Amino acid sequence: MKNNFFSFINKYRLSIVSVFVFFIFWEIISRLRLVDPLFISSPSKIFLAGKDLVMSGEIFPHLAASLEALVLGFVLAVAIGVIAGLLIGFSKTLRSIFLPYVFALNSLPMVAVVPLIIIWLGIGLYAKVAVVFFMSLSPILINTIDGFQNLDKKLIEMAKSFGASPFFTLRTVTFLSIMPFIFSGLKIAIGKSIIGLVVGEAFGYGKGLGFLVTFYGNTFQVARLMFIILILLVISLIATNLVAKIEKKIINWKE
Amino acid sequence: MENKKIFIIAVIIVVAVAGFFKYNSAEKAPENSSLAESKRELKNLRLIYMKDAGDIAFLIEFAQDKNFFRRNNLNAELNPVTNKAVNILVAGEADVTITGLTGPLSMYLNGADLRWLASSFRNFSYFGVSRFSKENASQIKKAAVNEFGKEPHFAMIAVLKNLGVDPDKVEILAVPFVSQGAMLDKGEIDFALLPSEKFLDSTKAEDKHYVFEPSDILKDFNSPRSIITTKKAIDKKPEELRSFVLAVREALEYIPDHPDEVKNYIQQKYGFSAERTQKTFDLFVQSEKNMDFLPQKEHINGIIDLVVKEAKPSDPNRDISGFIYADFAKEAMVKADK
Repeated sequence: MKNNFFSFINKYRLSIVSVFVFFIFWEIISRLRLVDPLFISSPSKIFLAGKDLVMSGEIFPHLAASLEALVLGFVLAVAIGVIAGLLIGFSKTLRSIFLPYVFALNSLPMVAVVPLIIIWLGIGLYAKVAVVFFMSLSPILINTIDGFQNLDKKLIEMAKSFGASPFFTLRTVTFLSIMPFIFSGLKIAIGKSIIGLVVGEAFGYGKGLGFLVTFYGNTFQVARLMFIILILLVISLIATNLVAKIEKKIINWKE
Repeated sequence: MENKKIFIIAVIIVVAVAGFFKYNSAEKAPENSSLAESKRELKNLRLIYMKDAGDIAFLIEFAQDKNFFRRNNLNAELNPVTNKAVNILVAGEADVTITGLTGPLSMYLNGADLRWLASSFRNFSYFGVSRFSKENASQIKKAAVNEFGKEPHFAMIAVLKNLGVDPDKVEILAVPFVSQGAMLDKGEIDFALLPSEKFLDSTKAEDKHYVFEPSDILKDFNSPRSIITTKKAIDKKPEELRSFVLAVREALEYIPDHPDEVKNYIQQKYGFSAERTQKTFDLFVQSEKNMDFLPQKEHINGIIDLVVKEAKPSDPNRDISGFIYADFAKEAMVKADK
């Protein structure tokens, strides 16, 4: 265990030092009042605010509510995005029909659509999941479709020449070739899903990290606000790393 | 290559035409020199306000359209926004605002250098729309505001108490204004606080639900619409702010004394019915009655307690006397009364 910890530190030593130096620099410029602490707080104040929220237990129900909406919305987006992306990418006809809608979805300003989502789905988990879903869907869709556009036709021809059936070619050559694109889409979707979460939780029952972002932002509790932003960053990092690990296991031929 | 040449020629033509028109309008200036000169004498002030807060928008727009600012040598640049007016003020992108006190107080107790210059009138634009009558108000279980952490959120607690409802037994939700009508119709929420009469029309609330007037529901919510600025703005633009406070004072005194003119203005500007216009005018006059123009701590002790309890600021014991800057209000009261 100790060895694992030290090897982890050794592997990421530059990143750790860089983050550490950044926080020290931030603390110094805050204490010297070179930046207005009202707008950006300081690492020490953020740490104390976070300690308060954790020790009082105030953060945990909000964290749980957010993770629930995030996981549900993201998993739904992955499932529907990959399947729809495969179908649209595979068929020229479907591409012609659906591509404009895919790009429209990508440009959709979610803040403007949230009131409609609330009318359709009510205030509660469904609306939050829907916002996370719509925000995550477009990068997965677009990247999966892109994967088809960038397929190496020579590999398909080679498989055909070796007598592979169309279904076998699709299942092995095609699908595995577009996997890197799908995983790229997933990594982008993680960031967008966090944005969707904050937008979705600005409304509703007053639960979740997005609610805290809105409430602390409106009441100018900058240190607490920045702590919540830090948590969202950490969630995003963990999720991205998880996707990267799964990608490494599945696309093991890339190395 | 040909396309490139055509593009370059087109850009040159566009720039030349734009330059020609700009030069022409600059040349015309001497003809209107008295206007140009009088504009130069006016001092600039950037005023920001929430356009959805009907009462504040009315006072500011009335004062602007009836030249109260110009008469006090002010060129007031009006910036109506839908959100974060006080944040924009604190960021230095505006000089002054008129708003409820809870937001600025919360920011002050979190370290912002805001100053309360004067009070204008009590809030008279929050309307309560309910699925239940006053007698059955105890059935309210879900109450909606537009956003958490803003004044309507704090006002809701006082509103529920005024209706005889225990706020701790009610879930306060954030629902966008545009969705509140539909949510009431569907029974997803029981009560909503709308910031202006405009929203009554758009939600057709009066046809379908019970509407509670501001005077009924805001009895103990003493957060007057106040003139708020920053210490930086006072140091940089003291004359402009002095003039602004005076202009607002003059407008406040003018409105109740000229009912026909004001009602005509309201009807034309906002398209209200005659009945709604009369109600709005009466509400304004009522809200101004016995309102102390001078900012004083004693008037807001209840609000301070509410803000400290709900917003949990980082410095709840910060000296409130630092928030109050009464000099301009005192001068304005003397000048306006003359």
